[in-house]
Amino acid sequence: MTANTASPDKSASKDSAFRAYWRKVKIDMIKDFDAYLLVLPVIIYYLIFHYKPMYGAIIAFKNYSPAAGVMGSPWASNFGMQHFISFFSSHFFVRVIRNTLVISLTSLIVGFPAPIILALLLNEVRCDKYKRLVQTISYLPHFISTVVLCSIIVIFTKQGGLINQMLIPFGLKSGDMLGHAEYFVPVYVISGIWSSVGWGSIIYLAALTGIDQELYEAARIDGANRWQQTIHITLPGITGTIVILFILRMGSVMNVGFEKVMLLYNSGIYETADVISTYVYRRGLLDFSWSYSAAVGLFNSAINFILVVTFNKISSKVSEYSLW
Amino acid sequence: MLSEKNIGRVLSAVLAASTALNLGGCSSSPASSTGGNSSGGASNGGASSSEQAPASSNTENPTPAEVSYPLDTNAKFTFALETETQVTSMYTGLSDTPFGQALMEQTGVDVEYQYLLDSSAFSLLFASGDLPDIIQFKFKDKYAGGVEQAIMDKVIVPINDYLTTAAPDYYRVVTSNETWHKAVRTSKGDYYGFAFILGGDDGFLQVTNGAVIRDDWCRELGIDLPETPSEVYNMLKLFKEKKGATAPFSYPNLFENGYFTSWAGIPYAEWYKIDEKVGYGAYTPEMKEVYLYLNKLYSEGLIDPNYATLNTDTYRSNFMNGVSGMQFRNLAGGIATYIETMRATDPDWSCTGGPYLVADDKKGTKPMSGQRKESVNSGFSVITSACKDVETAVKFLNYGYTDAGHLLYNFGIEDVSYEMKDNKPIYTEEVTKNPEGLGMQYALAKYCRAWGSGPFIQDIGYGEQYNFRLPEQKTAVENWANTDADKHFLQYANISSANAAEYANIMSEVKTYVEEMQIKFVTGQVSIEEEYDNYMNTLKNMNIEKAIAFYQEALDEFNSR
Repeated sequence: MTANTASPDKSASKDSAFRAYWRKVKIDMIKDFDAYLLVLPVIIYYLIFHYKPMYGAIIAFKNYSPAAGVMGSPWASNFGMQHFISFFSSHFFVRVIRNTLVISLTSLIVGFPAPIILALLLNEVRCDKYKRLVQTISYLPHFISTVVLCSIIVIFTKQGGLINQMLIPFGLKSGDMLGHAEYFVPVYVISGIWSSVGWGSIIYLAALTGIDQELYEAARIDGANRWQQTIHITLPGITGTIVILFILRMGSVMNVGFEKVMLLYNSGIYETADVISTYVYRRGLLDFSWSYSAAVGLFNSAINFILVVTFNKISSKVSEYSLW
Repeated sequence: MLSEKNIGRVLSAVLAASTALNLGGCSSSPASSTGGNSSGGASNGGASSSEQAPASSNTENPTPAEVSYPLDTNAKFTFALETETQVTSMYTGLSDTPFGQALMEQTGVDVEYQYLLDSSAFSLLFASGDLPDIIQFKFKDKYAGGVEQAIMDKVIVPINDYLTTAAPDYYRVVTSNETWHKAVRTSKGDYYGFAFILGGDDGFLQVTNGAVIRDDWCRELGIDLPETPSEVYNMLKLFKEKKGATAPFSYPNLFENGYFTSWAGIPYAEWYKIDEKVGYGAYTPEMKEVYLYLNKLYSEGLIDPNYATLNTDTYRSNFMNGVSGMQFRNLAGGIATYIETMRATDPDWSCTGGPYLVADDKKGTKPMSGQRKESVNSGFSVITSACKDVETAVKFLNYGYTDAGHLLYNFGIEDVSYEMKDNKPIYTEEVTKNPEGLGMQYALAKYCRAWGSGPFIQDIGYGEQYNFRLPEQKTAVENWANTDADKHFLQYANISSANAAEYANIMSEVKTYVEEMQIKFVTGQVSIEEEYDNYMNTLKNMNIEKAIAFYQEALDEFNSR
């Protein structure tokens, strides 16, 4: 916090401003050394577990062999870009990108508003006991491990399963739902909402409690009904939270939940279900093409990074909310 | 001690020289290595020989060194292998089993076993570089770049220098059979590890899988076990109409072992050879016939509509509950288990193995292909660069090829898991009718390794007592083995490490694509008539022909060894 307030003197040159800044930091460090000590483990954690492993990403540009090690492995051909070229020219390149985007954008468009709506609805419930009951029930799936969750989904959607049976009158094709390519995305997205909507609504409910109750009072005096209060007071009150969460969510657009796809798909529905992460898994860990899958993964991360930066830029332009 | 060692060195140098000479003139009988040895019995899998392991090494003798067990050593090794639920469901590790204890006692070597879940766990192990001393793994098939790459990556340490001194029994065994001797070396001539070898000459241990059919239904319906595609069609149709089987054929992989392809002139859906020419089944014009045929079965409801998503439990229960009447399965876990489970309540229940198929107009001829295992299994126990005492490790792994070791690995502990009857080891009731109610495989897992794999020769006696317990199993093997698979089964050939990366790249794409298209063709999501040319073109664009050329090169290289 103190660092932000230390804005450099406009008239001074950049260099001296920099020095002045560090002097301030130093003083601050001595004064609040206990606070800095507290944050130290976190910094070390990030350095060791998030920054140090990053150097391993250079195997994407090499022909990695475990015996030679990361540094000793020879560089890949075409100036180290061979694995990227192979991926871009792969028969499955378009498909894994398309599937990743379709699954993740559908989850985003359908799934992102769901917890907001649930939070707004819960906010309107006046009976506290009922509200708590609904909250508890909707949280529960969050605590089930992905493997169990996916087994449940598979059992319910297979031929003769509960959900499968319920949907047959509505024209569902016979057979396991996960045997039909066109049902994969709906099953994936809807089950995703089911398992995360309750948990996701907590943060919005917390934001809702922060809205000044006097605003509602004033609105009621002005004759606004419940709907108008929601539109004009509640929603604007949590816009900041929504925007920040949205930006963070954009950063993982290309990261479709790997385990879940893995546990639900089969080679019959790769057409719609094979995503970048599962492709990386099969190539890297099953076919031992470490460098190739590192290249694909790096490409994936690069896109994520660009997306976060872009949306943050857009957001800070059109609203006052941004991550940094 | 020191002088003994020196003599040993001189000896090994002499032997190495004579070995080199022998390699040139093929390996029919390296006189220097077999001369004067009386314990060659281990090589033919006949463990009938009751001789003890040679008592002590005699360095004066100009024959290869004999290793005496137990070894006088303090060595402790780590040994990584793929998880075996047969062991891990009962013990924390192999070293806690009676087998592990006995092995430790008999060899004098302390071994700590590490079970790794699957090949991705091995992948992580290799990538980490933190290797155990010994690894049992299918390097040829599963290591990126194959065996030669693993040697270059310094994962595997070749044992050439120790063969005659520390592994005389292993050396004797592999040189006794020309094919084995070819298969245990790389194209550069490196002996890279200790092979799991299926013994027996008649090939019975190599055939374990095929079509399993409800023959009691066939008898009731008055039909024979099918031999042609149209007979299979008729049989499945009758199963559906008369026997109430809703999914007459229920099994996830329709293309296993070439059952549904051999009648069309394609030995296997993947790699095969015809007159030493390599081919890829899914990339042949004839495959269209197979797809059309399977599509017909599928659209008439004769193949399980959910076959692509079937898991083991489902297709097993389908078969036992009469939902299906045919699947691909093996002798022990399939036929024997089904019959033993079902006859407890229904004494007439039966199933057996049906023959492989020939074209409708060629009934009575020998099928082109069928399931085969390589008699030298690709799962080798190798010594890694992390091992500090290679010589002792080699001696430890050599034990499985001595007479005493052969008995231990195949039959376990005398008077506990087997008894000698007429010079033949026979499993006791502890194994065959386990008092704790364990299935035979699980009971075997306590005492021996014959049911799994390891550094030894699988004895034909194991096969006779385990795979041929029931007459239905015998019928099955006779039906399954009656093929020309030996001429078409592509085995041992190693893609050279220079081509390995490109080959892996091509095949990774090809396999994914073929697998998907096969499902689409069979289920009729894609019209075979319209799309087949497209499919062939896509495969061509994926460079399948280059991969075939790589494989051809590998086969030629193997044949010229």
